[in-house]
Amino acid sequence: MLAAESGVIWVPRVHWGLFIATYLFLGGVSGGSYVTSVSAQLIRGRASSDVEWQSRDETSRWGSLLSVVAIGVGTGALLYHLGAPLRALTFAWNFTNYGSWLVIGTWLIVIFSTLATLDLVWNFFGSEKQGRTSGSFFVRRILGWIAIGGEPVVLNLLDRFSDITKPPQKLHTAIRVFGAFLGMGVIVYTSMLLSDLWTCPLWNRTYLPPLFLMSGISTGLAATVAMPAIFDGLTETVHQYSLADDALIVVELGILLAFYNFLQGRTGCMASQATVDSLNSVFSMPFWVGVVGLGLLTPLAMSLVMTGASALFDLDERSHTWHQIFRAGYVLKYSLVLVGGFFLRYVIIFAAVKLPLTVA
Amino acid sequence: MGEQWGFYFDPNSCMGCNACAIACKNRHGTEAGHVDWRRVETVSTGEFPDYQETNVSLSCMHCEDPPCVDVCPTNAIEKRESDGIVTIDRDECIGCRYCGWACPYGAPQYGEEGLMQKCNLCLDKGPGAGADAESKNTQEDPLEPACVDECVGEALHAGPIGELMDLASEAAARKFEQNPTSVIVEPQTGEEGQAAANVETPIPYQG
Ligand code: SF4
Ligand code: SF4
Repeated sequence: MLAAESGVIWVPRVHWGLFIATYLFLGGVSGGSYVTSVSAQLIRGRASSDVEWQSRDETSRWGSLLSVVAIGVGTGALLYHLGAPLRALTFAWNFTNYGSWLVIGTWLIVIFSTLATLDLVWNFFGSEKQGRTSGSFFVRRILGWIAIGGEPVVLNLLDRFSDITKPPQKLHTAIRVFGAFLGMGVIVYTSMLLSDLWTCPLWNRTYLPPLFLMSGISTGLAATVAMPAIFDGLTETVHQYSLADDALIVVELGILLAFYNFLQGRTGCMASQATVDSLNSVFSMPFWVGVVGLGLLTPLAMSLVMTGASALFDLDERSHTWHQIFRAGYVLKYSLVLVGGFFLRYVIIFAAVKLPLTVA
Repeated sequence: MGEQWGFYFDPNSCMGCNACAIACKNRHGTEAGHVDWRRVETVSTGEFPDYQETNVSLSCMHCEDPPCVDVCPTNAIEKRESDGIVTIDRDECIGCRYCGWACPYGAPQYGEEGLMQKCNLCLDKGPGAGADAESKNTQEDPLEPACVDECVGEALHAGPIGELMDLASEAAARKFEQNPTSVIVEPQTGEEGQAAANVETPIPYQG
């Protein structure tokens, strides 16, 4: 089980796999989608045209939807990994160690997803949403298919529920802003869960939280804004969010490289050195190609080329061909950000090396 | 607080025969293959002509301040006041494996069913057994740990720390005082008679 080497005993570390990486990734996407959703709503009023207003409105709704879907699937992945998932469902009774980040995180996720789900109902249902047809409202169309005797029962129920429970606009916005902070809490929690342990240098308390926060918001933004780009085409809003994402990516890249540099510089720590070695050997593909290349540098380069090209050559994005090319470009960019975000969690889990026991 | 129990290990007497690990497996009926409550490692130290090999028999250290206990969401792991043995209540475990990452020694093991199991200092037989067992201090005839029983070289002992200390050399006792686990490890005596080997707890590199 243990690999022995001169003077040290390496401790095995095969406890978590793909499902936990997926959980951490989707926790980030969920929180990030919600933050994006709220931001789009807050800047909606300052839209320059009806088209932009509509685009921000859609972005906001997509983010609301994706945050719930992501946290739902993510929690499913977590439960699947557990040895006794049913016991985790009764967390309210048996998660009694409030000092454990698993317990803190569970409560954060529960409160966040309850709020996000309520919010989703308010954003998609209610009498004033009836008859809406823009992209994100496909949710209504699908639920409309569930009918008994020609009556869309589920839809009606949700509409009624929304009408009864929906708070006045100002309060609703305040709740959403609070939700955005919870969303950031969920993202940061995924890093605290790991960095609370001192056994792996890769799970560093200084670097991991800001790294995950940047990546979480960036991937959530990417997932959210890709949706109006796919369903409705390009708008100014899609461009603006792309630029915001670029800023996040630059910061994330900076933190990641500083972190790598930090580990590399810890020459006295065998586990840090082993981690750097594994990032450059076994995990060089997911790390350098997946995270750094595909997930960070390529999206940045694509953004640069697309923004530059449309400014330099004064391309008319309203022309059908250019519109389609740029649209595909942005969708690809956002997809790569997501791929990179996943690889980041993958690498952080799989390339973690435990401090060895020394026999000196 | 009852007297704390622990292990004593002397690498100088250990021949690396694995009898302890096998005895443990037999007693507790743990799965063949990947579940090892106790295991023996051979570590090479130094370079020729000071090269030597050290055998180390490792299990749960029943740490004084166990990191596994700190992270377990359901408090399924307990550092018993009564005898210092760290136990796992498998009816409470959700199988999250967080303890596996937290433990610096790789002690927590997970069987097919995904729940945690590890050394219970033979409070009782079988995975998960012993969580609610009576204190070793008050048991009339406490079960001798299988590893100790079967140790060919008499390298392993178990008992109240106070009694184990009588076996320990001064150097081992000094080491133990600094070591936040309940295992007393004898320094290895090299060919030239110099104290050469000891199992060190990894030092947290970030506070
Ligand atoms: S050795 Fe590991 S499992 Fe045993 S008490 Fe210490 S931290 Fe817990
Ligand atoms: S695997 Fe079981 S014993 Fe270990 S931390 Fe999770 S719930 Fe606790």
